[in-house]
Formats: sequence, C-alpha cells, structure tokens
Amino acid sequence: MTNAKFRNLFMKYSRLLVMILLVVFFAAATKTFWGPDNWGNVSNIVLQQAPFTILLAICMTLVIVLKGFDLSIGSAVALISCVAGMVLNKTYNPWLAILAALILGAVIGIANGILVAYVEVPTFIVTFSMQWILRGIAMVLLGGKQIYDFGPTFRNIFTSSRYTFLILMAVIAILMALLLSKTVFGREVYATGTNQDAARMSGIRVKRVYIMAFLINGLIIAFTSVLYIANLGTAEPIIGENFPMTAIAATLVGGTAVSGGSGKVSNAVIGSLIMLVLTNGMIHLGVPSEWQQVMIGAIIVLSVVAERGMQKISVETV
Amino acid sequence: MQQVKEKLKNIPGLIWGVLVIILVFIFFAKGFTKYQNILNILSNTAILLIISCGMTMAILSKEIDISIGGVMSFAGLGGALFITRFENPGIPAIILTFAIGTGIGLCFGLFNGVLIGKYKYNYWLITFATMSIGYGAAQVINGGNVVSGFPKAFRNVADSKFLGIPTVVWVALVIVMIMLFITYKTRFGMHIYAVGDSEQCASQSGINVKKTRILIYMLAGMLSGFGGVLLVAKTNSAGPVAASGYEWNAIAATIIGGTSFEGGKGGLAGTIIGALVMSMIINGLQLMGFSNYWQQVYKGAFILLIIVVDVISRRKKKKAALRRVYKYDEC
Repeated sequence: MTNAKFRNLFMKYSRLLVMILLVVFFAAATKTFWGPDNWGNVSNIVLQQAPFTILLAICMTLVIVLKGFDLSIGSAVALISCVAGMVLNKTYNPWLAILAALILGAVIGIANGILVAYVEVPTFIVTFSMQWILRGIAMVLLGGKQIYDFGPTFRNIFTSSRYTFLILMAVIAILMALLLSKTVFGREVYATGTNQDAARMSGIRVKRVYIMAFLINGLIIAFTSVLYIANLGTAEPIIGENFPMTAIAATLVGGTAVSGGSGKVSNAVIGSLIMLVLTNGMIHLGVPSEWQQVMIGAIIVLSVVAERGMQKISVETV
Repeated sequence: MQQVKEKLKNIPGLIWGVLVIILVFIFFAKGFTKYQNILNILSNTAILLIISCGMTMAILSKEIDISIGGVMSFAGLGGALFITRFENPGIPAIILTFAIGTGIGLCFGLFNGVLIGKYKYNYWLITFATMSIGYGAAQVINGGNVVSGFPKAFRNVADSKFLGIPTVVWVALVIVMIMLFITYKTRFGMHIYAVGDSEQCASQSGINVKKTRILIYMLAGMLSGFGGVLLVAKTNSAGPVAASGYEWNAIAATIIGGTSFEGGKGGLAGTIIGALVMSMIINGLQLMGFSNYWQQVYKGAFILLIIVVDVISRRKKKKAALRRVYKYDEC
C-alpha cells in the first residue's frame, strides 16, 4: 500500500478511530464506564438518545452542506411537539397528530427556505429569528404548561417495542443517504453547496434546491418531534434549547465541512455517537453537568480547526 | 453642518417606518411619554448602545460577533463575584471590578479575533462557539446561581442620578464619544470601513487586514465585558443568562441605524438612533401589556422584518445602479 493510499484510508476512517480511542480512554480512565453497571445505561442511550441526536444531526448536515446553519431546530421541535401534543390531547387520534406535525414542519421549512432562497437573508439570521418566533408561539399556545394526556394509543405505537426509535431512525438515515448520494437532487445539493454561482450557471435551479432542502429538513424535524414526545411522554414549550448546539457540534465532529459541499449522513451518525460517548464518559469522569455547554463550544472550535488541518493533509496527498 | 446634513441623508427610509411605530406607542401605550418612562428608556438604551458599538464595528467589517451575550453574562458574573468580597468597596475596588469584566471580554475578543482575523475561520461558527463557551462558563463559575445584593457604592456607578439623568447614561455617553472618535477620526476607523468594503482592496493598498480584524474583535469583546459589569451594577443581579438576547438587540440596533450587512456602509451615528429605537420598541411593547411570550414573538418577527427590508432595499439599489450603467452604455 502506498503512502498516499494509506493517508486517504486514514482520513476516511479517522472519526471512527477517534471514537474507538475515546471509548478506550474512558474505559481506562474510569472504572464504571466499561462494565456491567453501564450496560443498561448504554442500551438506554443507544435506544432512546442516539436516534434523536442522529436525526437532528442529519437535518443539520443537509443545511451545512448547503453552506448554511439551522439554529431553529430546537424551537421547531418545541413548537411542533406542543401542537402535536395539543391535537392528541383534544382528539386522541395519533395519525391526525402526526399529520398536523408534518404539515407544520413543512410550513416552517418552506418559510425558512423562502427567506433564504428568495429574500437572500443569511441562514444564520433567518433561523435565529425563527428560533425566537417559534418558541414564543409555543409559549403563547401553552402558557408555560405541560401536556401529559396523549390518549391510550399514541405512545403504544412507538413504545410497544424498544427498538422502534432505532429502526425508524435507521430508515430515515438510509433514505437520506440514498437521497443525497443516488438522486439528481442530491447531486444538485452538493453542487449548490460547493459553488452556488457555478451551480446556477450550469442550469441548476438553486432556489428550488434551497427550498426543497429546508422542506425536507422541516419534515424530518416534525417526525423527530413526534418521536420525541412519544419517548418523553410530555410536551412543553421549553424542550430542545440545546438542540442546535449539539446538532452543529455532532455534524462538525463527524467531518462535515462548514465550507459547504461535503458531508454525508454517515458523518452525522458517527459524529453523534462521538458526542454521546463524550457526554456519557464525562459523567463517569465526574465532571459536573454545567461543563457540558463549555465542552460543546470547545468541541465546535476544535473540530473547525481540525478540519483545516485535515484539508491540508489531503491537499498534500493530491 | 454640511457633514451633519449628509449623515442625516444617509439614514435609511426604515427610520420613517420606525417613527410610525413610535407614534402608535405614543397613542396606545399608557405612560409612554412620561418623564420617568423616558428616563427609563434612556437608561435601558445606555447598555445596549455600549455593546452595539462593538457590533457596529464587526458588521462594518462585513462580519459579525454573536458572542456578545455570552461574554456579557460571563464578564458580569466574574465582576460580580469579585465585588461581593468587599463590604464597603472603595473606588479602586470598583475600578478593578470593571477592569476584570473588561479583561474577560478582552480575552474572548482576542480568541475570536485571532481565529477569525488571523486564521480566517468561519466567523459565524467561531463566535457562536464562544457564545456557548461564555454562557457555559457563566454557569460553571457560580454553579448556575444568581448573585444579587451588591454594595451601594458599586451600584451607584449605574443606578444613581447626576444632573437628573441616570449615571449609566453618562457612562454610555463617554464611551460612545470615545468610540465615535475612534471610528470616524482615527486611522483604525478608516481601516474598518476599507476592510468591510473590500478586503482585497484594503490589503493591496497596504492595510494590515489581520491586525484590523483582531482589533475589532478585541474592542467588541472589551465593550461587551464592560457592558456586562455595567448591567450587573444597573440591575443589581448577575445571573448566567442575564444578558441573553443582547446580541440580537445589538444586531437590530445596528441594522436599524443604517449599517448594512454589505459591510463598509453606515456608522456609529446611526447606531445611536437604532439603539434608542430598539429600547423604545421593547419598552412600548411592555407598556401595551403584551405578555413576555408575545414580546418574544414580536421581537423575533420585528428583527427579521428589519433585516428583510434592509436586504431588499439594498438589492433594489443595486439593480437601479446596474440599470443606470446599462443606459449609459446605450448612449
């Protein structure tokens, strides 16, 4: 194997290596991380936390490939789960609630998309203002209360088997991976993210790509919200305040570049897993939970810096 | 006089829309025009104005600094933990408190500046990360608790009156004067405009772009650190999320004041008006009796609206300019 080939292989699997190293580190540094006491914990994380982190990271990946950010995902989850919860509370009909959630998600996505594509406001500004508006509406709707009563059938659909969340997440991840790698739309997304002007010149309807991307984003967020309240058993307007940070950190750690045009679903998955290992490992190390936010910020900076270094290595290879 | 007139002309049409909103407040918000309320608005404007100075510089240079709220919270809490050690702090202790806050801000600003200015990392992402580090550090430093009950001498910096006007307004006035001087009259100020207009032109005409950018973020960080401590002195409490949302009020104030995201256009003079307008709107919404929740919705929608108007009017101007060019071509 030549040096260049080895380098490429190393680049490709470097995130997996990081994760294995982290697991080894935590297993060596703490007595509790790798042991039967933590197995129940781990299965909880894999079955009930990982699906949500991964779904949100997939949403974020789609937007970051297009050179944007979506800071509104946390508030969108909050608003959609509140609306879905209210529908459930009134009608006890789970399918109606899922439909309402998907419609609302589509509306939010299209609104974001129109503002980004046609009005040409930076995605950061659009989604941050959206964050306030959506959470504000959620608070107005529920007035700081919670909804518990979802009717007899709703939670059974999702929690009758422990593996439902994981399976649904896997289905969406595979669909998204196929969409990004095998379809014309996927190619258009990568082209637009790499160079918007060049994409337009070569006949891609860039505006439509943006709106479609945000629409898909909104639909996945809506679906995630439904799963989220099914898992949590309550809907309240304050959920998901850390979602944008965590999703951005997971996406970037997974190797999706902020400069746009590169990034895959598999990156989002591995990034989310790294984040989960880190948060769980830090608890076992005895780091207070207040440090988490500092840590996530530091991870974002580190992964951006590391990305530059990786690019340098791969340029040398070429 | 001529210069003042020209500056007035540069204020965008947006201001007239805002005037309509203010008229609505005068008629429908109870007690909006009372002397006490006007003083209230002024003292609310003061801190927003101080941090908007930093934001204006960042936006003038075609970038943005959204770490302001996090830095303010952390710096304010840092200063607060220091001053509560004293029973009766003298003037040196108070000055030291503000120096600590400003120093914390300086560290964050330097970090932002070096990563963004020198190494050219994405400014959204870096300042977003420092924002989260700031909020997180503010959580860590005092276990998420709120500090309150500060010595009178410290609170007097912001909370007493001098010549009938709150002292915090005087403090802001001094700082804004200094910043006006820096941005309009010094070489560094000119460099900000040049860098924002076109980074390439600036660097080719011999301006040290990296140094300018680092200085901008340092100044913005210092101002937000200072503003954070001042906020503590004014509100008599320091919490880990005390200053959340300030970064967006500052962006709105800057954009209302006519500085556009295009970079290199606008200036601090407009931001003063923008900050006044922002605090009037927040105050008016409170007086009209909207709940906190609705205020959040309106504020988000309002800021989005302002920015959309700014973007659309900018594009129209560009189109008009293009049309002029092509007409000349035909002649």
